[in-house]
Amino acid sequence: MTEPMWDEFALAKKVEPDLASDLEKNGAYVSPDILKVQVEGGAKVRYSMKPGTDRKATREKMDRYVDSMVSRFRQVPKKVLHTRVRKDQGELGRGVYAELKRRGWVIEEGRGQVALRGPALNVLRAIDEDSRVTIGMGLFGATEEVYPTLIPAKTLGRCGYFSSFPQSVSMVTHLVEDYDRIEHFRQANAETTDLTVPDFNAFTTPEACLSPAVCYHCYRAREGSTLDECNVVTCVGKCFRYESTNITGLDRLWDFTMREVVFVGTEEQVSSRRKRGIDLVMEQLERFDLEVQIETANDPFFSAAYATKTYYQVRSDLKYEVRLAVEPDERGARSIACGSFNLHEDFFGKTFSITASDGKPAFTGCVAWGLERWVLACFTQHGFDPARWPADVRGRVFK
Amino acid sequence: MASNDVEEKVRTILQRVGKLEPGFSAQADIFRELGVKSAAALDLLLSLEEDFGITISDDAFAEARTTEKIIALVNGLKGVAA
Repeated sequence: MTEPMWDEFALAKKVEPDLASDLEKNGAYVSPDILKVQVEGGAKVRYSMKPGTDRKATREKMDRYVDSMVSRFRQVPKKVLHTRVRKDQGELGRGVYAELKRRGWVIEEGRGQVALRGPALNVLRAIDEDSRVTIGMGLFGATEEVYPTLIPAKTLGRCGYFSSFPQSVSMVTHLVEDYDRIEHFRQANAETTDLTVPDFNAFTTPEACLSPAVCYHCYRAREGSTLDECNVVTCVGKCFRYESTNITGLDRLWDFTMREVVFVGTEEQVSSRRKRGIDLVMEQLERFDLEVQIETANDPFFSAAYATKTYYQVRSDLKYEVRLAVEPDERGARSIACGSFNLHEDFFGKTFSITASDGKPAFTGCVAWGLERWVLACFTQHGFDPARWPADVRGRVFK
Repeated sequence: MASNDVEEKVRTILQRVGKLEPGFSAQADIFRELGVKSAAALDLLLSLEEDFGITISDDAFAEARTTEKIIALVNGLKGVAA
């Protein structure tokens, strides 16, 4: 038997598209045997499993998962801040990722890991330079900081990451300093090119993780400080979020590049800068002539944290996403979140004892760009003919 | 239900959901000043709705960030004079 197994059940209450989408996405983490989760018409969950899966045990797990996401969820109406239509009259591209690979501009190095070169790399650099120089340093007067790719597990723990997003953490471990265990490992791998782990007890508890976002470093770097003025920092880094079976092309990588402009200051200083950031990114979208909607959003909180944290985040307008149009799928028009504008209130100020110039715990916020997704959106919206690209961008992409 | 009963019940809910000690200020922002975790907001809203048998709009709840304002909100929805 090689065909996937399917199961389905009705939801206790009908769910809105946003919750349905998150149920599908987080469903990847319910069981390694689950291949795909679909919510049909907001009323039914349908999921496929590997052949031979224990149907009853998986169903029980799925019931617990759905109940944790749905039972306490309270829908808050989405707010749309801005929409923009392209000047480019061309149709949205189809099969863009495949074409980028065919041209050798994107090379898959592993699951959710890509190399970029040629025009794809040029687009990434053009977006990044525009964000770093024009918006970050130019219009916000940001200073640059460089951070490690690793982040101490202790820092992520203090940021609440393990209780909010445990499903996506990439932990870094190594073999314990023990001659016999290292030798055992060496021998197990001597005759094979596939990593072989003869003894999981030979691994240490991870002291570090791969950074899931750049800005955590920025807050940690200010621990215990009192700020004279609003700190505006721009930084870029490789970020890592394990996306399981959701890993897809440039849409959803495991290893991706994030540019951020980070604000640390008083409530007024930070919220006014985030608001300004939205206007500046709208101008950037004009420069790159991209079709977009900027709307309220929530982070992918896991399980019981989903309903409670999503509610507060959306209700309080703490997160807006830049959703760029990409190629439609079988369900119709589609967009992906290519950036976000975030407020964290005084959470990081309190966590890291940062005092703002008003004597209160600092507020923080950031504007973030997921650069590989911008690359996908640009090629989807402008295609591979340089003539369709905005004149100012064209020369930087097609050299 | 008298206004005093509403106040007592709101305080009890806040103590339970927000893990607050009795005697907290009615004028303080429950999240920023009293330290109620933001993740407790939904539990607080659902508890208020369930315990008082009312429906609270998200906008009204978002505005009610102090005990005093929550009491006024509940009183308003129950038609109780302050």
